[in-house]
Amino acid sequence: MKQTSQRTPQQNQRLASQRIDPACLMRIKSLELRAKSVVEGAWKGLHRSPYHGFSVEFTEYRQYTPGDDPRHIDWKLAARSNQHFIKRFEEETNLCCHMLLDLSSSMQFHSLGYSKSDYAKTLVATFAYFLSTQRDASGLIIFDEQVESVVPARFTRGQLRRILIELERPPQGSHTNVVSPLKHAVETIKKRGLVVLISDLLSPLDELNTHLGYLRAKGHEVALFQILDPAEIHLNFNETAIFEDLETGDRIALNPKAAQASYKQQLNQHLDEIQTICRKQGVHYHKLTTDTPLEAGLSDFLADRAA
Amino acid sequence: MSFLTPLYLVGIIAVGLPILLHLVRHQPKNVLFFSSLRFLEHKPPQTNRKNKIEHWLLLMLRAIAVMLLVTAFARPFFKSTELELTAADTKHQTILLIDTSASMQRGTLWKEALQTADEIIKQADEDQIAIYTFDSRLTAVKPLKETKQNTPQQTTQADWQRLSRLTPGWNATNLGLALTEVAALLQQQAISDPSGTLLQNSTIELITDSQAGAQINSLSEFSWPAELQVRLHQLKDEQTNNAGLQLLSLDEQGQATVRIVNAADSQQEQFQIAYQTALSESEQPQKIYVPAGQSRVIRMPAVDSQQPATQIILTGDHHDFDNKLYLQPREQAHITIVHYGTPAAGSTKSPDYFAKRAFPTTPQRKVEFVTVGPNSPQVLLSAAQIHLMIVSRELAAEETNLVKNYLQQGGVVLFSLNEQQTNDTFQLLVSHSEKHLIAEADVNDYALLTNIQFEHPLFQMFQAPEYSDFTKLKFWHYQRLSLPKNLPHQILARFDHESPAIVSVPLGQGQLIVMTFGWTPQESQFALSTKFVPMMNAILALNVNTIDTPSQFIVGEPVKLPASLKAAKVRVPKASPIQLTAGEKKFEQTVQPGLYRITSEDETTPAQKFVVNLDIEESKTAPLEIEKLEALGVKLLDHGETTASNPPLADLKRQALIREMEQKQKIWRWLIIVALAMLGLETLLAKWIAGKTSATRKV
Repeated sequence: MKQTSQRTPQQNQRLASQRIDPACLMRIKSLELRAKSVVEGAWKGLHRSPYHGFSVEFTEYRQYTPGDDPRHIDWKLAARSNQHFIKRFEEETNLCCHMLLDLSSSMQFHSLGYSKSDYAKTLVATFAYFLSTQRDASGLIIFDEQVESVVPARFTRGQLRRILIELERPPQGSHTNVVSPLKHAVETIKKRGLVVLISDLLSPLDELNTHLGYLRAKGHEVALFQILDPAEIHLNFNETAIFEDLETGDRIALNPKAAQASYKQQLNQHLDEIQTICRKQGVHYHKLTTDTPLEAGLSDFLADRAA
Repeated sequence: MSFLTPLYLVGIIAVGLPILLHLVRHQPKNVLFFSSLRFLEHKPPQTNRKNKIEHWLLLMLRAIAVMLLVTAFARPFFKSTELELTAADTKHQTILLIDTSASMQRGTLWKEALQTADEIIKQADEDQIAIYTFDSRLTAVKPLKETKQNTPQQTTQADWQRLSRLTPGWNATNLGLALTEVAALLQQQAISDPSGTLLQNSTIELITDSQAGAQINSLSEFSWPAELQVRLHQLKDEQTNNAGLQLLSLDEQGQATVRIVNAADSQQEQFQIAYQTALSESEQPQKIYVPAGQSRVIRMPAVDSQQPATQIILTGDHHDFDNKLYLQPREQAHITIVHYGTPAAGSTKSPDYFAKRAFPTTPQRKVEFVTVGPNSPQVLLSAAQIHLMIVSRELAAEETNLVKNYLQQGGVVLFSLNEQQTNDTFQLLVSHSEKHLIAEADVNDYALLTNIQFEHPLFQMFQAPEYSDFTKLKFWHYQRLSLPKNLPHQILARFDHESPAIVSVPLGQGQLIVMTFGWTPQESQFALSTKFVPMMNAILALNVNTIDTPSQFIVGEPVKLPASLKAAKVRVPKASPIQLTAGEKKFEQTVQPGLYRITSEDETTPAQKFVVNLDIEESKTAPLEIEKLEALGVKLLDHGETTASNPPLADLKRQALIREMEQKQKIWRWLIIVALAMLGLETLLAKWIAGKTSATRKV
């Protein structure tokens, strides 16, 4: 497949200057427009991209059987041989990408004016848009404590629209259960492809290792985008407050400054654990804070796709 | 300090509110939604000591404000001595009012009365007890003033001793008077009572047979105090048959007219009455039928003049106390009138002709009219025996002295200046030497009387408008009398020429009535007028000795004594004689029925006799309807009910006093003002602290 080129420092600098500030981006209401902005910005920077020039290649003929799409009948051959054959192409798309998006309550947290879920949705939209432009199939599984909605991976004209519509839906669940979409993916995705899990992964990691292992065992490429708010990482709150868990509703009175050190320690431990799992299972792990430009996420994605 | 509504003090719990708020403030107010608390350790925020002290000041201000508000709501006030007195002096007072009228002599009534009284005294051990008895008047056995002096034990014993000395008398029952007098006494006492609850804490324990004959009319004129209550202990005798006697009249022959009254609850309707003389037993009784609750008047048969009846006895009923009627025929008074005038001998020209006829003899009086002519022998009568002297002629010197003496001893002399000759006699009588004292008046046609003193006893009977017309009384001749100013006199009537017509001149102890005219038809129309006889008798009545004294009285009625009586003795039935002092005008100890005899110590004058009988109202022994008492406003208590168990009244009064005191003081207003000031201060302080804190934060 395609190979990622090594970027020169100049390229990186140029890329950085062309990246859009997520805060500005999030002000755009339309998710499609956001995705377009990100992808086209990145496209400009990557116009020499090795992905340029994908085409459909013919492989063989197959006898027409009723039920086949008549559009695929080779009429010229039929005229010649008076037999109906169906043209078979080697591959209609390059890639089948399944995006697993966590829209649990914890994703509603925000400290920058937009939530992690907003960021994650934009990210998914960006991926979907990019994939559509690349004629790749994309699917979406939205989950919280269970699988909420599924858009099977396809490359059709309306696929992007469907994905965007699903993304626009308000979140319903509360808790996070990463295992359920992974299970679902293992059970339903037959064809090898790229599975992108987008979540904050702040829930317990009990069976994550196992299910990621299943996915990998089925031959899927798995990428994990962990979306975190900068405040989640630094716990940089000034005032003493009652902290309420967005998922469980538990409350504790807390002086953040006092709790900061231990929090960071525990969080880092958790993150390390995730990274260890990912490393072990050969999963591409990307940690994205919501103040990171989305282009960075896209480039990571591209790197994973190319892998 | 006390509180009007102390329950509001429970609100002091509200002080906890600011404290609670202060405590709550230590908890952070802002809630921060965080994605996950998994990595957070619960570290409660530590309190800052400096902040705490500042808040304590606020807390104190708030707490004080709350406490002041609560205290204001509880309506505080300072107790005064007046209120303490009210609280202290709430002792109950019992007024024992025992009926001692004649009807209480029936059967076992008096015994029951004493028992009831004893029970009341025992029950009201702690209370103050006053004892009064009543019949026709109220008698204090233990007055209200004495009630507070002794210890309870001493009091109870003394009360019992006092009660044991009491006996029912013979008087009539004036229940109304007794109740009003006791109520008035209590009202008087209540005026000086600081608590104002004396009437509520007083009960009148009325022990009486409350017979229908009891007088209660005086209650209608009395406004019964609403707080004062009476507990009626109505005593009833099982024997209800009772009839009584009342003497209506008794003529000179001793023939009596009596009324027999039968009690309303009497079963008996057939009675007998009979005379009883001093010597013999009762005569053949006369049967009388009197239905219950009614009366009959009968005229008793004439009695033997040799053996006058002294009593009338009624038989046939259960109770004897009112069955005897004492009789004393009125004695005919002997009046002697001496006229110094020319004997008439049937001639209307003589004043004697008319004077003699002006004083007729009646059953009540026997008049002896003695005319003393110029040549008649001297009258040998003492001054006390002569009731009136009339002078209508010139007197001889001896006669003048006699008349003078008579006047000095208190006699009444009528002097008629009908002739010129009488003028000298008059001058001698008044001991005046002035010659032109009297002169014949020039009468133009006739003279009339004016300026009549109708208040004088001489003219009193003519006061009524129908009798006061003297214009038909014409005088053709009269003497113009000009009395010197140094001679005390009173002009009772004048002629229309301003000259005195009738003059009263007090001389010595007596009285000289001077008429400046003659009454014969030749001189005036006086003797022929309707005014003559009444006026002449009025002059006779000026002599105190002629006052007609009745001989029938009822128990308790005062007997007027003759003025001439000096030291005398009254023989009283069933008791030792009572000594009367000189000058005493009334004999009031008519305490029991019977014959009374007044004898002078020297026993020169005949004894004056009179009898005292029972009031007929006492015979009406059927029970009085209690509703009548209630209708007259008396607040009656039931037997079980007590005024002591009725403290809400006193309490209400006390509460009213407290409320009034609180409203006068109005401390709550000041408390509210201070509380508002505290809250203002708190607001300022809180603002200042907040400002300070924010400034620090900015820095």
